Amino acid sequence: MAVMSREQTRARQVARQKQPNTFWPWFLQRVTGVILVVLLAIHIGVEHFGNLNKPGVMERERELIIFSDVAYRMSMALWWAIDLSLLVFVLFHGLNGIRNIALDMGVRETGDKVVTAVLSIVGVAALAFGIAGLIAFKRFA
Amino acid sequence: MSTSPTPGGGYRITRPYKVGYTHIRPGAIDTGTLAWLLHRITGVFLVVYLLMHIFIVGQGVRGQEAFDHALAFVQKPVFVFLDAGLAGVVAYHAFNGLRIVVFDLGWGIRIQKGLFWVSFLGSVAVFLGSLYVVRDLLV
Repeated sequence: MAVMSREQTRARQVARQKQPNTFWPWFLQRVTGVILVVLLAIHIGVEHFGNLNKPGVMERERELIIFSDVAYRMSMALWWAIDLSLLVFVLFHGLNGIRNIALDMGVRETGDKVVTAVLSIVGVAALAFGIAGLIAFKRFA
Repeated sequence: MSTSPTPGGGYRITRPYKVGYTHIRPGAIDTGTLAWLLHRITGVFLVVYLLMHIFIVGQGVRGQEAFDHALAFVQKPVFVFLDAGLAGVVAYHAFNGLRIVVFDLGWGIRIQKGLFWVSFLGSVAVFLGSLYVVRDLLV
């Protein structure tokens, strides 16, 4: 019985225990991670530290980043693309990481469903709030 | 003890299933465990930071003044220092994560320890570099 048919494999899995959905979260964690290395380097370089040493900025004391700086970026499609991708990928990567910790702790089946549901709700809510925040820069500009 | 058959004959023990962090023994942490532990700790920290970050920058929904007020608060010197620290934490998680992806693809398995120390030193370099970049604001 060296090679089993698909039905036999599946029957074994079901008989043993239902495994949590294992391939796509594992794969997407790595894909989003690699993309995030690039996106975060750009984000931190430009949006966190980018205003330093710019003419006219260092004179504004304690106001390194202000609304108009961000609104200027939000008028460009490129930054919309970068920021939206960042939001989606980082929320997925982070919350999936929390799910991995829960799986390490030993949740199975029902616990896994509960954890995944809670994390999905948190993720969608954070994404919605984040997009509303980005839109605000066009609305109030 | 419960078992389940494996393909090709033989049995695998499935119960009791070791859960939790039973493989960490304080006083006997090797490099690989340290790398894993730091990756997990930085990951959890970054998720918490991320949710705070989205909340703060999202203050733009309440208008210009609310946004400027929130941003001015997080540009006090202590927060600028923490911002440089954040860059270092992100760098550690990123470099170690890249090491893991590369390992998963099967490359560099024998030089794992070296790769870990390279990624660790790289993240320290990013942290120190960020401190240098923001030096004027730390006063």
